[in-house]
Amino acid sequence: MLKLLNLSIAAIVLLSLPGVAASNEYLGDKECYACHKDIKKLYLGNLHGKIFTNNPGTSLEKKGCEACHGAGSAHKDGADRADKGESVPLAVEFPLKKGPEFTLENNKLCLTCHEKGSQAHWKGSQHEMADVSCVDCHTIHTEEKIDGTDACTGCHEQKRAQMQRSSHIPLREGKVTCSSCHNPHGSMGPTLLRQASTNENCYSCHAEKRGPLIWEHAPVRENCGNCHNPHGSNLNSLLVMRPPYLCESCHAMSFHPSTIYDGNTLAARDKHQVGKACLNCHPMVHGSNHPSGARNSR
Amino acid sequence: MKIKNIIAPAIAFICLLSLYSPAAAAGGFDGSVTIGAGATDLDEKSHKKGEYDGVKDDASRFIGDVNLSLENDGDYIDLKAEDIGLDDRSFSIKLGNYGSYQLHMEYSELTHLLGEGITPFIGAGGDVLALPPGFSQHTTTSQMVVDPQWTTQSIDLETQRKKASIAYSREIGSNYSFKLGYSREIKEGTQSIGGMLGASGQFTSASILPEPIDYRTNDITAGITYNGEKGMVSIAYLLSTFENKNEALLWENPFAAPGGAAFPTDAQISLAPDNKYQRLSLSATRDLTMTTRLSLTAEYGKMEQDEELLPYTVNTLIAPLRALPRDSAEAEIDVTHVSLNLTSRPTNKVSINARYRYYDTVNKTDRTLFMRVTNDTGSQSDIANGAFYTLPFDYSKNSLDVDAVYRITGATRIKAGLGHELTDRDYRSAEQTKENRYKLGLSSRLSSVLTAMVDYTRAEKRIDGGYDNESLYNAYHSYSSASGMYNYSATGNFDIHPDLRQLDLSERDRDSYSVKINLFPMDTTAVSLSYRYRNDDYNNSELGWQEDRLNSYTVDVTSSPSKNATFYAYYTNDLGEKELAGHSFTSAGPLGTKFTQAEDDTRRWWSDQNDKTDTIGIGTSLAFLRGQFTVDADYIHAKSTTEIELRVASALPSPVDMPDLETKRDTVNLTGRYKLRKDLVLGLGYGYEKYESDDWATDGLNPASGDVDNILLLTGSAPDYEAHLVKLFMTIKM
Repeated sequence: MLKLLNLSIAAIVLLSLPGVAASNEYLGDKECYACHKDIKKLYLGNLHGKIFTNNPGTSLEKKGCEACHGAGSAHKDGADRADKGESVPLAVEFPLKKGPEFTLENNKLCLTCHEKGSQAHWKGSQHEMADVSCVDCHTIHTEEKIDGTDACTGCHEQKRAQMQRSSHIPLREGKVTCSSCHNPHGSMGPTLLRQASTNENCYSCHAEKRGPLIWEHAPVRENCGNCHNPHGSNLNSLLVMRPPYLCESCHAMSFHPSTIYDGNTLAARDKHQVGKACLNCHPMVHGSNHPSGARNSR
Repeated sequence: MKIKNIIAPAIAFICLLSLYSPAAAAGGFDGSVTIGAGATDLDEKSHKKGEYDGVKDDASRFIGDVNLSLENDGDYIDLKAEDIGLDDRSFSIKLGNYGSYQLHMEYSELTHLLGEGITPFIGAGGDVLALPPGFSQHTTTSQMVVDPQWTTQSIDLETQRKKASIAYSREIGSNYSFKLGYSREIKEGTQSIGGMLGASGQFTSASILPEPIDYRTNDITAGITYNGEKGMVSIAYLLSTFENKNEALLWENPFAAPGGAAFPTDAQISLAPDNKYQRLSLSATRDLTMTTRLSLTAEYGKMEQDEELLPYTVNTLIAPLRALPRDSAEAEIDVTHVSLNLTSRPTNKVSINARYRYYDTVNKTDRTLFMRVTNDTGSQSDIANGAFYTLPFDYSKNSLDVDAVYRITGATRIKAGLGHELTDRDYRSAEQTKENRYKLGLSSRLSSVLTAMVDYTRAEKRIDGGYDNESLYNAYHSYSSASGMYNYSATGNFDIHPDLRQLDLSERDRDSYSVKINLFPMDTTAVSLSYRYRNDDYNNSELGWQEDRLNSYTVDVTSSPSKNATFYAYYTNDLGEKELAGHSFTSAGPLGTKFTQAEDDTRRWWSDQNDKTDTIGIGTSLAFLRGQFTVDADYIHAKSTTEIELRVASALPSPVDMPDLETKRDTVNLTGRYKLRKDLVLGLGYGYEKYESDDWATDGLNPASGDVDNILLLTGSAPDYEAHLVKLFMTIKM
């Protein structure tokens, strides 16, 4: 509350200063570059600067720096007066304020332009509802693009650890990124997936699993995640449990599928445990297209 | 590190350096080019080391990365190349005009090393595998390896993806844009697949075969978007075709029958069939008011597969074969997806989001009776004996979630949510499940140096309409209960024990919560503590998964004491605990033994599986001499242990726990960069990695030694390794 009061007083003081907030006009980028030489180089090197200066598509983009920062004349006047030794706060509608309480306000500015394409479903997304700020992941005045994985693992620590597990997709090698599967800006799929379902996401790279097949394995058709953890596993093939136990989770049938396999059977090199375990004989766990493939062995 | 391994790269690097002159770097390009040489030294060849870059043995390699841009009046060309000297290289060219159009062409490769195999089969990589000339069938592998004609060859199990794509996008005015894209991926190589002979579980033998991989995937995408003041509309089309050059794998059978029906000379297994997927998507958003937005996505897709069917068997002794019910698969699944999202921020303090999702699959493949021949062995089944109907499984999901956030103050917020999901399935033991979800959360910036967040979620999944094994059994089997073998008088027909609830169908109570605390003891330092807990309680499943629990905590520290130094360190501890309940029963003995045993609770067993993982990361970036010399150092330690303990009820013999599955990896990377001139950086890097694993499924097994009597293995364990890497490079800035 005290903070709110302080801010209110500061705002009233600013507005009451003659020549500071009374009129504020757009000046153009050159006026900004005159003082902000370091920012100029970075700005012109990134996509914002390149589009705003070369091919602005909207009236807002034509305003350059002031598209985001607002009209700059009041700021410049304040700076000029400060240079003359006057004690004047630099008034500028600098939009990005620090702190979670300003997330909504800061994001609004970005969404002015970025609420289309892959950002069209930002509103209502898990990240938006969690008050994630655009600048939590993106830096504006830089030529460097964000690392699509590092930006995520800052908050998703458990996924960062899973990436380091023995069985993994090439996330830590940088050959895929989190955003290969997820759209952090919102999606209409589950868990921010780019596709409408987990399986459709997996089929993007594993089209051979798409089928459909004459002998479907129902849990596989419904959700690859029933058996695999795509973020990394201590078990081969990203599995959530080691065969034969994984298979026995569902196939408690008479004879070998319901047998308890332990250290004794392992010592005898039981064919249900060694090598590929159940998949020694039932390799078509993703379904079979063979007329004799009813038991996923063909 | 062997000296000879670094001499060649060093010489190559010096040659490259001598070729460089500032004049050569001049031009209109902006960006950088990195060239150099690297060498890897391994104490033992291991595919695990080069799993995704192909470096599995001592090797020298060229280092090349390019990142260049050429611009003129808004026109641009961006050139990018990464890891040119490795099997995971990529190249990209973007050209266009900022804010107007872009043409993006890309080529990338990705290798995946899977192992080293030893096999007697000749013809690995193709779709016909032959045994050495004169080799006779034997009932066990230990007999095979002493056959005078036994010979083996080593093969690399690996796949390589090569993908080329081209995409063109254009803005039309300030409201419209369109995009066209085409990509083609070729995936080639060899992996392993099991090939079984034998008609019953007791009398089966399997050969692990080299499976040929020769895939082609072509994707065409097209889309047009309208962006207006208050929303957007986008229509997109996708056509994806998959082609496998190998329809089936035929192999010469090395096994003689250990019992039961005679084994054939040859056997055949199907491989992934060609398929096609088309999807039409409509996506739209509309701002209903300044603070309320409605989003819609509607998609209709069609998955089709019509590969010509293989014969029931290639065993020529089984004749005459009944005709196939149709010549080709005629398989089709149609997918409909509709999502509606209504989100509103009526005030700055309140956010509300309501989401409805409908995802429906309709399997249009005919339910068909196939008179199978079990694993090319024995006789062909008929309606009264062992034939099965295909089950065209499909499902649909309807879910509604409502979430709300209330910001008590600017720095403190609470959230709550409710969700309901209804899943309908055909050809499953439970045709409908319902799940209710409840969410609560609180986050607050308690002071300028402390923020905290707590989240809790509960989800209750229940079966609606009962769990029915019998209907599924009757839909699958061609015959009734005439034999008595499959009849269970108390609960009807069943294959799967009636007390088991399959993992994805079972009733489950899920409780999960997370706590996160961020501390900022200094402006330059952040400390984060996070804890996550999830417990899945399958309390209504007598058999199957009983519990699945996860405890995970992480400590994170980052610090930037000066602009010349940053440090990070983290530690994550994950403990996963799963409990599985089973019931051992057979059909052996007098009629009815199966049912007696299935009802006998003293035949139960339990498996407790604990998955422990420690992950440590430490790193720093340091700059000296006003940034002229920089050093980056990173260390990763990842260690996992999976314990499997077993318990039994009184009728089963005392079990012995399984040995632990273990993996351990330590990785160090050090890179120093010295800015020789404004436009030239020299770099030196050193990497170290040590990997160890224990895996009871493969440890101590040699595919060439006949270690497992009824499995002809192809691979053993991934060898442990210790690797050193050095690299020298220079980066030329344009």
